[in-house]
Amino acid sequence: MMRAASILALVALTSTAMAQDSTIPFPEPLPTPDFELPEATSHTLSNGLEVRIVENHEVPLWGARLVIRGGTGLDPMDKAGLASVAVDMMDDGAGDLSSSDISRRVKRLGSSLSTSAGLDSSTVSAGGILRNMDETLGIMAKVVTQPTFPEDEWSILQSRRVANANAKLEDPDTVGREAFYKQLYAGTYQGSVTTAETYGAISLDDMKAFHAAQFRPDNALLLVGGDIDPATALPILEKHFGSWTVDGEATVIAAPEPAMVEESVMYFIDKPGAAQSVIRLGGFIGTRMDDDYYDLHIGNAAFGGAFTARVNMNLREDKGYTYGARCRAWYPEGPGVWFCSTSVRTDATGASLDEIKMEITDVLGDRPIDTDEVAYNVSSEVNGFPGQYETVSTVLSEHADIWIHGLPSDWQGRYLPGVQAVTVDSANAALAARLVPEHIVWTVVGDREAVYSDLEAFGLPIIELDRQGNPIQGN
Amino acid sequence: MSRTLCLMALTALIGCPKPTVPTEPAAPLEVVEPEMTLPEIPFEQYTLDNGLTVILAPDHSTPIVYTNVWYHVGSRDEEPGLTGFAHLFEHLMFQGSANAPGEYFTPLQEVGATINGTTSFDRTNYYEEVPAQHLPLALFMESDRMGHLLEVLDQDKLDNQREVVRNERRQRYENPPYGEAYKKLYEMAFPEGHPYAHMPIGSHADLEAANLDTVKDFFRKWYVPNNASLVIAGDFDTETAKALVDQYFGPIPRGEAPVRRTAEPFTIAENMEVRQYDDVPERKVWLAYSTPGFYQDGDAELDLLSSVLSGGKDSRLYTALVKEQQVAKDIAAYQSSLGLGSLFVIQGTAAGDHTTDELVAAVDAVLADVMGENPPTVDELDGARANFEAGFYSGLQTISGKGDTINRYFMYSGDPGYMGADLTRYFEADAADVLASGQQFLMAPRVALHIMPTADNVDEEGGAQ
Repeated sequence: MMRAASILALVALTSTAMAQDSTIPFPEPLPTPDFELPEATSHTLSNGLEVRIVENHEVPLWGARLVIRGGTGLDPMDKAGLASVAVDMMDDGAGDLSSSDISRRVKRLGSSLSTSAGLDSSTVSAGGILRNMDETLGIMAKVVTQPTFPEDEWSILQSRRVANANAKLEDPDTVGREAFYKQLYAGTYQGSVTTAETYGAISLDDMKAFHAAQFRPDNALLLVGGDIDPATALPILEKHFGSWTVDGEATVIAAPEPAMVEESVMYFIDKPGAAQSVIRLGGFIGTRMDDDYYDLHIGNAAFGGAFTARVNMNLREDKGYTYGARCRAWYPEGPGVWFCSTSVRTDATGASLDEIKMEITDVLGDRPIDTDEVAYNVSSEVNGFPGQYETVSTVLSEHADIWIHGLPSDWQGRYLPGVQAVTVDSANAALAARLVPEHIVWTVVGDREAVYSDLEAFGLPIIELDRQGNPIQGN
Repeated sequence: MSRTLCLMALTALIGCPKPTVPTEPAAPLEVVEPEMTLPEIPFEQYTLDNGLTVILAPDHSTPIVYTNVWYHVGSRDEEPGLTGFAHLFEHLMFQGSANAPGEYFTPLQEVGATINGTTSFDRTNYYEEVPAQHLPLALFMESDRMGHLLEVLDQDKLDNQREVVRNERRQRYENPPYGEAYKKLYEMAFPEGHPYAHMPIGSHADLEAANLDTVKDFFRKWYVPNNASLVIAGDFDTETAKALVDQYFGPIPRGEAPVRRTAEPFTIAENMEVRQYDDVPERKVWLAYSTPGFYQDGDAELDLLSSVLSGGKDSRLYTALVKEQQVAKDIAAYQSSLGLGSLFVIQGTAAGDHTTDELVAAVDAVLADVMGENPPTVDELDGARANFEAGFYSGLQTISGKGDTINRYFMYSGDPGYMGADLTRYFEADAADVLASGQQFLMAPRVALHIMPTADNVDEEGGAQ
């Protein structure tokens, strides 16, 4: 066998190599094993609720997610946080069960139950030891369909959210991230930032209305995975979710259409005494359905997405300004967002900004992504692909993503061909089309006394913001 | 029914909770009890002539392989003046070795690997998850830095990574509010010079003082094959893996067996309190008690007790402090296990205008009640146990989870297959055991760290630190 022979040869070489202190060569790979994407089966309950099931029999666990379209992106500006608290409250009382009942029962079953609101979708999740799946799904179904929104629980949650909204103003990472999106989206929905006031404005009726409008079987997808099969799982799902019906029709949620930034601006937020400056910059890009999606993906991997990408190699491994610097693309409903973020030593703030700007200028100009960089990052993506599908959880997440955003059903299958088709020219063309310096918003959170002169030297117009991302008067 | 008993007990303790849904009682819960089948991870363990422990755990579910090397050295082994050194060294392990000069990430990321290293009090580990066909590359890379790091380590790399680590310190511990709370808590809970009295991140001064000679001495002392364990988990052929391990790790010479820093079991002798005023938004408090180390008597019992105290919205501390008295915004209790002895930590944030002193008083009342008139119930403990059981299985869902679990068991218990015995500890601890552990370890002296907004620092004498 070829491989065995080469191993023996290497062993012989290695022994002498060690003695002579010459080199041990990089090894050849073993044969590549076959890989098939784990499949989900599609089903529909008697009430029309769509179901996807993914089997995995490695451990006696199961997990389910009920995903609905609609999340914090639907929040009115003056009630930012509404979807988040509405969904949070759903396991604080449902049907005949109180908050404590739900918690006690779920725990007693060796199960977990949680709720969360994202930007475009909201989720109720449950899971645990297989033997108690049926009973746990019964509790989950109550949480999904019959939340009671008790006033005393809201009083506790509201106080906590108000305190959190105030507390986050002391955390530079959060302040920087929220200011960035607030300025980028400039008054459209994702820019809405939760505050003590917005939480104060939310009522129980608001939450009930959100639940009634969004949690409907015709606006939901039930994903179930684990040590199960459709034949045994479907009757249980039908028992708990099949009779869930509501009146009317689901609202179609319109994608936002925020405007591009016309002129690049530096937004600055003072954090006296900060040990580092938190830098974030970026702008709008296209969607995942655009022709250059995979080209931008590889172009960005080479520019700033990977540990070995230009930005991190420069700022961290060469200059030592930071613990890490990365750029990535994010695709909510509407246009995607490309951004870079890093935290840098305070006295290296100006130098870091200059290096980032130089990397952008260079990649768009004299030093475009080269053949090796494209080949390297395509190889990384292609080789790493099977590992992405190791757990049921990630497989379910991908199916949820496809459903929420209306991606084509063969979305997963498009990935490898899409990435492998990227060329040097297409990667650079995507970067040139999407990374337009005039459209980039910059934010820095840092110690004014130490960094302001650096910001002035950087050359962009500076607008100072308060910690909630609002322009400070007089600027 | 035990659930009702529990409710009544709680009612006696904290007053009757306002019923939120005035309907007939909910249907009784139907629980399927466990049949005591213990999870296990099939593995094969052997030792190379140079002392390297090798543990193979094949799992062909996904075409990936996870390699994980644990060096049995952590921040606890650092000498005074060298705090943060084990972690700084971990960074230098990614700066290239004689036969793979350049960034450690570069050849591995090219084949789609997930790569990292972590440093804790007790150990330093390095891992890569690679597509199955690239097992030779992962073993080549790991072996080369075990055998040939120093040939290419130079001052520039040290200077650069020293800066990176100092930035990591700023980013993770200095810039976020409360970022250095644990540093202070461990300083308070362990006596000066104790292996756990300083955090793995170390101090700026010690990091600045690190020089190339000390780095090389550290490597020669600790990074020898006889002080490491290599786990390979995932989709591989055992004979192929053994041949590759022999090929790449076999030639590395055995070193002198390093003697780890250790410490006699330590117990906090008397209550200590520190009040800090800082640029923070809320009043928080951390209470820490001396408790038994990993897998020692009482360790699992305290895990179970932590679940009774703060696991979920029906837990004792949440019910009393957050829901009923509303003195806390959040409350958490957990056994933070380490090899030489653990801390049981109770951490809370005061709600509204309440003080951390009120919060602590409420915690003490709950503890007194749980250790006295209303001990943990069978029902509460069954729930806690079931959750730990699910957690064990959950850790086996990924190949990396299996690999980490095996190496952790090997290092702390000497038996990579300790999982069944570990879970048995949770199954066998009964209510009396849990109560006894609580009474022994939580009705004892503790340290209390209060961190409060600067604006609170008025009319207090000698409080500020």
